[in-house]
Amino acid sequence: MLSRLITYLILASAAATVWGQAPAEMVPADVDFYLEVRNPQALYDQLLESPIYRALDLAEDGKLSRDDGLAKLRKVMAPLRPYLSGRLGLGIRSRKTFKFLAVLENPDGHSLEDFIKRVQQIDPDLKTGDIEEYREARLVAVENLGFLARCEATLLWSSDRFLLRRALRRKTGATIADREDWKQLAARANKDQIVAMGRLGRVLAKLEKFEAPPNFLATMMLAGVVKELKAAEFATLHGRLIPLPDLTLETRHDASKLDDWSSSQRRHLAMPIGPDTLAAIRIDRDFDAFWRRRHELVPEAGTQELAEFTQGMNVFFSGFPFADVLAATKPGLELIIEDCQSGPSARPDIKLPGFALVFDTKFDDKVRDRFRVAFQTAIGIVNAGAAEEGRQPMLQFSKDVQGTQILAARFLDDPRDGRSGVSYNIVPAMAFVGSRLIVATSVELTERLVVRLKKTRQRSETGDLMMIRGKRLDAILNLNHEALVDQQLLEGAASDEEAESNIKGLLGIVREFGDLVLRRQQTDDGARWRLVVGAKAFEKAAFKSAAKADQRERQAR
Amino acid sequence: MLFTSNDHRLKPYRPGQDGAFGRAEVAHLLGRTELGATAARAAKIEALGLSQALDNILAFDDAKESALYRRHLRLGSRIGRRQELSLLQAQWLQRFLSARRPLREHLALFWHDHFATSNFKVKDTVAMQIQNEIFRLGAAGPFDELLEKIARDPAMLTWLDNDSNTKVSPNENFARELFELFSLGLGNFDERDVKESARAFTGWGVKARRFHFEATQHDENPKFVLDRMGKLDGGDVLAAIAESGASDRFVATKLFRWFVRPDIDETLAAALGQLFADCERCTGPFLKRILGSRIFFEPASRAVLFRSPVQLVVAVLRTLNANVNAIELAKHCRMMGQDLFNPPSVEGWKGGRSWINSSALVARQNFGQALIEGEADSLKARSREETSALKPWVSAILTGGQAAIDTKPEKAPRLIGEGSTRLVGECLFMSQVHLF
Repeated sequence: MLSRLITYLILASAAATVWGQAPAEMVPADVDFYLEVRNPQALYDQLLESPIYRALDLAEDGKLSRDDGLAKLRKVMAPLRPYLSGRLGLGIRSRKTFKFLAVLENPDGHSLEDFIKRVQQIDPDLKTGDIEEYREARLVAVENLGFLARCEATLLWSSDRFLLRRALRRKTGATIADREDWKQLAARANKDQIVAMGRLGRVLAKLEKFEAPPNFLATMMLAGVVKELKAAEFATLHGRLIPLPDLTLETRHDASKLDDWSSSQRRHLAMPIGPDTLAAIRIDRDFDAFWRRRHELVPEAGTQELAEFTQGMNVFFSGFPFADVLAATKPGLELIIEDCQSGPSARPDIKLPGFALVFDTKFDDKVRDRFRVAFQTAIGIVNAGAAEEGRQPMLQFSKDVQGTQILAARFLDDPRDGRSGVSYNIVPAMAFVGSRLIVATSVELTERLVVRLKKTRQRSETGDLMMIRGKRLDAILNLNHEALVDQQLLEGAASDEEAESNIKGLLGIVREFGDLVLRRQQTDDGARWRLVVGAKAFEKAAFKSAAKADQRERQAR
Repeated sequence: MLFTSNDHRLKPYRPGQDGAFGRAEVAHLLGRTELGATAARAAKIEALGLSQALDNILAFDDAKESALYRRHLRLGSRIGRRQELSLLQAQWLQRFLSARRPLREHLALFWHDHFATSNFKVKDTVAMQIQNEIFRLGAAGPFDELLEKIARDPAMLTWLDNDSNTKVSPNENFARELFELFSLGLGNFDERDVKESARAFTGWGVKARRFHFEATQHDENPKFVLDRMGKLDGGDVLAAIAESGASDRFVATKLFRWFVRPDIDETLAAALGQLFADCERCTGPFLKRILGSRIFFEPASRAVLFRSPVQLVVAVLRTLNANVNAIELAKHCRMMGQDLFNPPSVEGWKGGRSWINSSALVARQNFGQALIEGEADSLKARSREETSALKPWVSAILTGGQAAIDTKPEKAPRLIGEGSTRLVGECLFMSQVHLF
C-alpha cells in the first residue's frame, strides 16, 4: 500500500509537458514488425457497435439471449477508452520470445498515475512497484503486465524493460519514422485505418500454431501458402477494418524457400461463374508436382490418411495409378458452388447448393476414359453401400448439352413413400468440355458449366481467388430455414425463439458482411493478398478486375 | 376396478401409518417415474400427497404438455424422413427432457425394450419413428391394444421377417417372439403353438410403410393355437393371448422389475398377475397400483435398480433443468452402451448389472466430465437451476440420499449456471449415482 502511494506521489509530481510525438518516432527501427492504428478510439467504438461484430457475438450459440458479450467488453474497456484518442503504434520483436512495445499518443495529456488507476479498474489485483527514472520518464513495473511509462505526449507499454528504455532513448537511435520504407508506406496509405510493415516471415516462424493442419489434403491446399507467408522477408499491410474489412498485404519472398508446386504466375481464364454462383474458389497449385514429392511434403501425422486416400483413388480408377491420373491434369483447380434446386423428384429436406470441381486435363482419350470409369466405379461403390444400408440405389443416365455428353446418376425414388431416396439433392454428374473436366454434385450445375465453358473466355488472371456472394448464401440459408431451426432445437435451443435467434446470428453475419473476396496474386518478387468484404465485392472482383486484366493484356500485346 | 390381490405388499401405502411421504419418498417416486425432476416439481408432488401425486404423474395429455415438447413431437416425422438415426435419437431425448409428464416417454422406453426392434435391420427411420409413436401413445393404455398395434407395425413386421411369412413358406420368427418375449414367456406355449401361429400370421406384411394384408398369401386352413381351434388369423392369436393368465403374469412382472425391484418371489408374481388382470390389462392403472404400494416404498426397493444410460442422462439433465445438445447426448448414451432404436437383439438390452462394466463406467464418467466442462464441450449443457437450491436435491434424487454432495472450494463456480452443471457432473464420479 505504501509503495503504491509512493508510486502515485512520484507519478503525480512528473512534469506534464505535452509534445507532439508520433508513435513511429518512438519505436526502434529494428523491431521485426510495426503496426499503427490511426484513430483507435473510432475503431474501438465502431467495433463494439458494428452490426457485424454484434452478429458474430449473437451467433455464438444464442449467447446474446443470455449474456451480452459486447456489453461486457464495453464495460470492462470503458476506463481505457479516453486514452484511445491518438494514434497507437505496436512494435514486435521476435527473438527467443516475443517482445512488445506499444506507444499511444496522448494529446489530452493524461497522467501515468491516472492511466494505472484505470488499468486497475479492469483488474483490481494488478500490482505496481519497482519504479525507475530513466531519461525524462518514469518506468513503472506492473505485475504480469510489463512496464508502463509516460514520456512527453506519449504513453508507453512494453513487455520488456530493455525495449522500453530503447524507445525512450529515441534521440540517439534510429526509429521506424526514420526508415524510408515506412515513409513511403505511410504516404501511400495515409487514409488507411491500419498500416503495418516488417519482417512478417520472422514473426510467423515463431508462431508454433501457424502451420497447415497435419493431414495431407490440408498440406496440399494450404502448406504452400503457409510456407510462402513464412518465407516473407518483408511485408506491408494497410487498409481498413471498419465499416467493412478491406486489407491489402504485400510480401517479398526468399524464392529459394518456396516449393515449385505451391505458387506460380500461370495465367488462367476467368472462372465460369454466373448469376446464381454462391461461391467460386480457384486454387493455383501444381498437384502433379505435389504428388511426386508427397512423401517428403506430407507430415508424419498425415501419412496414414495419405495411404488411405491413395488406396481409395486406386480403387476409383480401377487399378490405374493415381500418380498417372494426376500427371494427366494441368495445374490449378476451380470449385464453383451454385444454387441448384432441380434434381430429385420430390424436394429433399436439406437443400444443398450444387458443388462442381473444374480442372484442366491433357487432351487424351485414354485419360477421358479413365475418368469415366472412375465415375462409374464411384456410383457402383455408392450402390453397394446402399444395398448394405437399405438405401435406394443410383441409376446412371446421360444427357446431351450443346453436343457435350454429361454422365450422371440419380437416386431412385423410395417405393415406401415415393419420395427421393436421399435426403439431400445430390445428382452427381461429370462432363468434358474440350480438355476441361467437370465433376459436380448437380446435373443442373454441370449443364450450366458446360454452356459457360463453351463460351470464349478471354480474360486472364493469376493466383488464388476465393469469392463468396452474400446474397446467394443468404438465399440458400433461408431455403433451409426450417431444417436449421430443427437442428437448433435438437442441439438444445429452448424454444423456437431461441432457435431463430441463433440462426439470425448466422444470417446477420452473412447479411452484414455481404460478399467476401480473398485474392492472392504472385508478383515479381513476392505476392499480393487482398481481402475485401462488402456489398458488390463479388461483382467487382469477378467482372471489373477481370476486365482490367483483359485490358492490361491487350495493351501488352 | 376391484382390487382383489391378497398380497399385503401390494396394498396401498398409507403415509403416516406405513411411513412418511416426505422429500425422500418423493425423490424415490420421481426418480423411478420421471427419472429426474427439479426441486420445484418435487415440492409440488409432495404437497399433492401420494394419491393425487400418482394421478398427476400419470396424467398424460399432449395438449397440456410444454410448448417445447409439442414442438419436438411435430419435429418427429420430418426428422424420420432424414434417415439419420442420430437425429431421431436426439429428438426422442429432447422429448424426455422437455416433457412435463416424462413418465410417458419412460414407458415408451420400456416398451421399446420390451418389443425390441432395431433399425440395424429395419433400415428405415420413418418406420422406427412410427413405432416409437405407437409406444408413446399406447404407453399407459391397454396392453392388448398395444400388442395388436405392434403386430401390425411395419418396423416390427420387417424386423421379425413377417413380411416374408407366406402360406407356402411360413416364417416362425414373429410368432415365436410374440409368445416368448412379448406376451407369454417360456413355458407357457409349445412348439405347435408357434408353428400354427406362424400360419395364422401369413400374409401380414408391409406396403408403402403401412400394414398390408395379402390375402393370397394367407393360410386359410384350420389351426390350433393356445386351446383355440378354427380358421384362425393373427387377430385370433392375439385374442387367445389376451385371455391367457400367463400373459398377465408375464407382463406384470416385467413392469414390476423395471419400475420397482428385480427380485420377485412366486407369491408376489402371482399377485402381480392377478393385479394386472384386475386392472383390465391396462398399464396406467396397474402402474398406479404398484407405485402406490407398500412394497414400492420399502427400503429394500430403494437404490436397487441400475440406471440405464438413457435413464442416467435424463435423470441428470432433468434434475439440472438443462438445455443440452441432444445429438451429442445420444452419442454419450451409445458410448455407455444404449444406442436408442438399435437394441442389441430382439430380447432388448440385458439391463441390470450388465450396464456397469469397465468401459461403460469410463463412458459414464466421460459424460460427467462433459458436463463439468460445460460450454467448452460440445454437449453444452446449460442449467437453469441455482447451485444452492440444487445441492440437497441432487443428493436426494441422484444418489437416493446415499451420498452428501459437496463442491470443493477450489472448484467453486463463478457463475451459477456453470456451478450447477459442475455439481451434477462431479456427482457422476460417485458410485451411488448409477443406482436408483
